[in-house]
Amino acid sequence: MKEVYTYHPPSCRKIFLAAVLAVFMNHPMKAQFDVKLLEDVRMSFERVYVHLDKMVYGSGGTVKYRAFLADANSTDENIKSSILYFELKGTDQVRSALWRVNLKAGYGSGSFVIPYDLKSGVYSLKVFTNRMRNGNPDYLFSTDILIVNISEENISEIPVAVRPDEHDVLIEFHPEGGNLVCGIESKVGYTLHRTHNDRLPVYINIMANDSVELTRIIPGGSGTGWFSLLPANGNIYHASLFYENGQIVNVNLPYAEPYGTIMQVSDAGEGLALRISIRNGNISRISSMHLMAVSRGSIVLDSVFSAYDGEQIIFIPGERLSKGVISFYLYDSRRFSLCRRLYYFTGSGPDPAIRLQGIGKVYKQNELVSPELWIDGLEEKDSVSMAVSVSQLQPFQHILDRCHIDQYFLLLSEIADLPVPMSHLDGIDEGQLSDLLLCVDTEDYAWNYSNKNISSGCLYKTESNGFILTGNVKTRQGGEPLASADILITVTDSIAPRIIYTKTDTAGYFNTVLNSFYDNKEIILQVCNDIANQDLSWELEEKRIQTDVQKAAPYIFTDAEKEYANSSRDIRITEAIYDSPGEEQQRETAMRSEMVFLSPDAVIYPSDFTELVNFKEIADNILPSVRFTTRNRQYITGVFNRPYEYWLMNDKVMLNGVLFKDLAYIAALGSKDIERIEIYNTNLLCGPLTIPGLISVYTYDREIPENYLRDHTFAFYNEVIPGDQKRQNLTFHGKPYNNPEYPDFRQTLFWNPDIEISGSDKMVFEFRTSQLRGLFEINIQGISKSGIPMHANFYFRVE
Amino acid sequence: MTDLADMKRIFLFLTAACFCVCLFSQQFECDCSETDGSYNEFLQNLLISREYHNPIQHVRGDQFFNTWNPGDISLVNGDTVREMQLRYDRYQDEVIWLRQTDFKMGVINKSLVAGFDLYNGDHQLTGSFVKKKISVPGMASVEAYLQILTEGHTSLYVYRKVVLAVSVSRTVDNTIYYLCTGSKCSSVALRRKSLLRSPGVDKDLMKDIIRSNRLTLHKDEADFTKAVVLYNEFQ
Repeated sequence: MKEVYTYHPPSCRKIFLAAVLAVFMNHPMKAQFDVKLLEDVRMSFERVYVHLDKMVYGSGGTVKYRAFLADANSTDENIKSSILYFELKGTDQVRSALWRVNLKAGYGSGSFVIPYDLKSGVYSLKVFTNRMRNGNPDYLFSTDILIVNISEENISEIPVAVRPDEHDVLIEFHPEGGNLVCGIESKVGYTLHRTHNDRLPVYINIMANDSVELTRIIPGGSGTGWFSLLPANGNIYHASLFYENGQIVNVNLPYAEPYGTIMQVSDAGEGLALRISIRNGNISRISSMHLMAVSRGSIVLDSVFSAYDGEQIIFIPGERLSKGVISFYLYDSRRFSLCRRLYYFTGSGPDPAIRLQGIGKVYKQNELVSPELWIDGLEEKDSVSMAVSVSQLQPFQHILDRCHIDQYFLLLSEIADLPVPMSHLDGIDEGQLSDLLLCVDTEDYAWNYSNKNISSGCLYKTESNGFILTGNVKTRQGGEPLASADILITVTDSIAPRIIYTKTDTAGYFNTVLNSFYDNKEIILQVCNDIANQDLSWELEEKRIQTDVQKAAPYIFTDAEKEYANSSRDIRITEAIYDSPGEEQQRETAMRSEMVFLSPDAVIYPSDFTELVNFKEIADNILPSVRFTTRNRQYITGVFNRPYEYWLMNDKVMLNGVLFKDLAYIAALGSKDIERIEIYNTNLLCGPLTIPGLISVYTYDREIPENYLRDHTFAFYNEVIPGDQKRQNLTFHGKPYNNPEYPDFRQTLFWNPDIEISGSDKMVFEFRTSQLRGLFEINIQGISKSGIPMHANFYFRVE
Repeated sequence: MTDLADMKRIFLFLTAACFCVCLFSQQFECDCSETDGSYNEFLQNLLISREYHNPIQHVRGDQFFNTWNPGDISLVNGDTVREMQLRYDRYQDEVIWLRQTDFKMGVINKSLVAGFDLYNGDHQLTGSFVKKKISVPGMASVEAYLQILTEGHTSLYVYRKVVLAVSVSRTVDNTIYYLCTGSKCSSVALRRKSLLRSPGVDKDLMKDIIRSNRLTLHKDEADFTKAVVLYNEFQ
């Protein structure tokens, strides 16, 4: 017997070993790392860039936009979102306006009107899809616009957002790879923070042990840069900041670690060279290292190499990399992060470039300008979709953040927290971007990128088929969620009833999809169950972006800015006076044909018969197989079902397309009120609901009683701003252009959101200057079919 | 005994640990492009249908093309409603939907439907139907569901109609085949001569195909279809 107890059956052993193996093969650290990293790259990086016709608007003015929606991870074919949201917020971060527009295969252009009641100030315009709301709001497209309220006189100051003063220190150091390691020379990036009186130090001395000057730095205007340092064991390093007024501030550099790893990246002609320097000190049992490079959301390098003290050079051919930010991650064999490095890869060949010919430096007022546009270096099969604006250059560049499409897609959508403002990026050479990335805090970046950016997972789904309507129903008393309630969604319609069925879950939440048929209609929601709407509290999910509250501070205009802001206001007032309504905006046609309700079994027009004073008379005299009677003092309808030969009794009808329970109201309607009655004499299956026969009544006035809507339903207006129809003539020259009698003070001389140029084609566009004098900018932003973003800016003066 | 019990405990612990790891991993499995599921549910709820009534309930014969099968319905607006339980009524030429919550049957509104596909339990296609306007002998042109036998330059469809033989109280097969070239369709019988006389068919080429492949067209739907398939390959 003893042997029986000690004997392990072979099958049991096998299971045991298999289980042990399974667990160790799925080591939690490994699972966590692999899954998270893979999730980072697998998730589609939907990004949107928006080109506006200008950056300064008067209240009530029209913002013209062109949206480029692209998947940074792939080609346009992957774009699924068909709805775009524009959120305008003032410095107080309270939402000022939210617009919704429909996109077609990533393309969207159109215009929306700025509310008249917005105060003068800098507003942030964030643009996003529902899916993008899952990510970090910092990575969404955002641009600043200045709004001038036309009712304010002599505008001399506006509130502007100020960045919270997070930095007590005047300088931050970012050692390459994360740490300073003794005995390994590396680059150390620095970021200077301006003092309260907006000063940068004149020069900085890097000192060792308080006495030895190692290097002297003259900082540039951006306040970022780098220096080389070879830390020695036992030394303490600090920087001495020398200010113009003689003040000296000493700041310590990070402690130099005795052991560690440094990863240096440099351009090696036809690719990148990674120099990995290791000081292992034989105290670590690291035998191998794992190097991973991620470029625009895709893993471009994933290799394992043996780790030993010293240097190793790894070459990555350029063809494996795409232009933009590359993130290099170095992990040890236990999957612990050793270092990270960001690098801006400028591409392995020359990029196509936008060219403009026939544009002079100076033009007279009302002069015709006809520049010729083409793309240099574009492949014959490729084409570029562009938006072109010609508008007066505004003097607010330093308070209005703006970026170009290539900066956004290749840099800012990957690195939201660059240490310099976007306006400073304009003059920076592509080659300098890698040095700038040295100053990005890679620890913060990695955290943002892998955690914050996908922290909410997939809470907000892709709106590819229509607007996702999500809401919650609770009881008004006690706030209990209304679980498992049948909800019918209808719209007032004169053609046929349209019903959408949905159901609440245990927490009272419901969701459904409204396709474009439901755009710009009043949507009526009601609970089918016998619960009065007064007892319910409805809440629809707003497509909101959570952003940090920023402080606002007054900004006093310079004379030039004051003049520009006030003349913009005057021009807007002039525009408003001469504005002819309804010229541009066209109603959008439905994206798809809407679902048709069943054709009725009988349609009766009471006007064809002698006048009948109430519905009972109508039912008794002219409606075949219909009863309208009372039961327990309640009205009820009955429709005779011929195949089964029984009456289908129903206490609801459809009134002008809306499910209507107040049959006492229907009872009072006579031939004078009712245009037609449709009868469905079978059970209708609607989702899991069965509607026992149906009478659909259409009145002449198409109205639903106000008190019924209030007491029995929840209604909201599903507003969508109509967009341009693609491939129609979208060129805008400003209204006064064709009417010489109008005063012509156009700030936007030309706007075309949809110019497409293929291969070596050329196109000429023309516009006429206005009576406004000053500097004007031709701003062209575009993206090629092959996914290359490009921009160009040209300037001319009108005298 | 102790060893075995310990081992069991370790085994259970490891299994639980393994399960947790799997569970953890699955938290990240979500894909944001998941609207298809909810949109499909939306479309299913939008397909309001009349409750199905069988007018020849106790009549013998092959009234139905299939028993209940999973199927997809392609709508005229381009949407596809997936994973419905469908059945094709040959007598009424209607596609019927089974509501699985209460087993009520509804007739899908024909004006919404462009076509439908039926699958077997292994999700293999058993029939693909398309709505087409056809002329039925003795009737004006009607919109009917035609099963696709082959589609190409020349397409072959079949209208699987049954009619009621009242005298014997059973349904009788009244299948009609349609050969379509471009937008022109004409009925064709399962005979060699009928195929060769069909408008738009290259008689010599078709003869060669029938002869060289030794096809027996007479009342043989498979061979008839094969002849059209091979004919299309030579076009």
